[in-house]
Amino acid sequence: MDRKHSNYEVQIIGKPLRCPHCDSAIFSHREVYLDIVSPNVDVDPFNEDPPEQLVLQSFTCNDCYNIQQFQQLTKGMETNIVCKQVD
Amino acid sequence: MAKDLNLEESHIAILDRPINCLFCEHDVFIPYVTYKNEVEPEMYAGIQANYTAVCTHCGSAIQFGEMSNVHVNPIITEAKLQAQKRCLLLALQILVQEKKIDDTVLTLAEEEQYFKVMVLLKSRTNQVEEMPALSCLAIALSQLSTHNIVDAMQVHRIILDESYPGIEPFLKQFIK
Ligand SMILES: [Zn+2]
Ligand SMILES: [Zn+2]
Repeated sequence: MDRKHSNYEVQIIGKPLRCPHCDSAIFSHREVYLDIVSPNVDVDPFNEDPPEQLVLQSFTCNDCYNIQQFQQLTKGMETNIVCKQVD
Repeated sequence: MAKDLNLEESHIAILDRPINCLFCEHDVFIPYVTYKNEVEPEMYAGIQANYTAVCTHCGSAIQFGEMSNVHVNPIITEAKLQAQKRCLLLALQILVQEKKIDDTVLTLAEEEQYFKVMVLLKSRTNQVEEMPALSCLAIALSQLSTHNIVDAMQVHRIILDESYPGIEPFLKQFIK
């Protein structure tokens, strides 16, 4: 099934995000989860803690499908990623 | 073990060329070894990297599918470096005390002649140019655990949870 994503203009640390390939400024967004490989794994085979995850905000260019990804960083009330829905 | 000590803010080079963030051009990253989470496999088209570096300034993530050309240089603050040197001396003191190594190693470490320390530790590693004190520490710690003087798992946990401040009191317990 094809998922429908909303489209966004995005600012990262106050600077508009552009596609490095085609310069478009409209992106679809999804959240991506990567499991972080724990260095414990080699040493401690009995470690049963669930893997930690790295959560990335992934922005796919609407025109050429180039993907750019950012981790959300929050300092007090401020966050590095601001999205404005455009449709 | 040297690699496990490196879970911190780092400069990264690919094929000896330093990388800068593509978005903000800063050059400090947190490196992660990552693999694809399988919860929603249909969401992961194009994302199969096993190495992810996140820019500490803007959050931009750079992914590499191959790690062999990725060189990570942790940024060592003066405080961290001093802690590493103190821990190295402790680890060597224990090895000397247990008669695993000649005591000239202590003088060499105090004089910061780390390459000579490395020779005495009989290390075959040749990638020590950037952080000789840390490399010596990693080798000394692994020798302490291969000789069953300290518990490898315990050292490993302390490094992960508390970094160097935690190893210092841990090693001190073994000094007679
Ligand atoms: Zn594009
Ligand atoms: Zn950046």
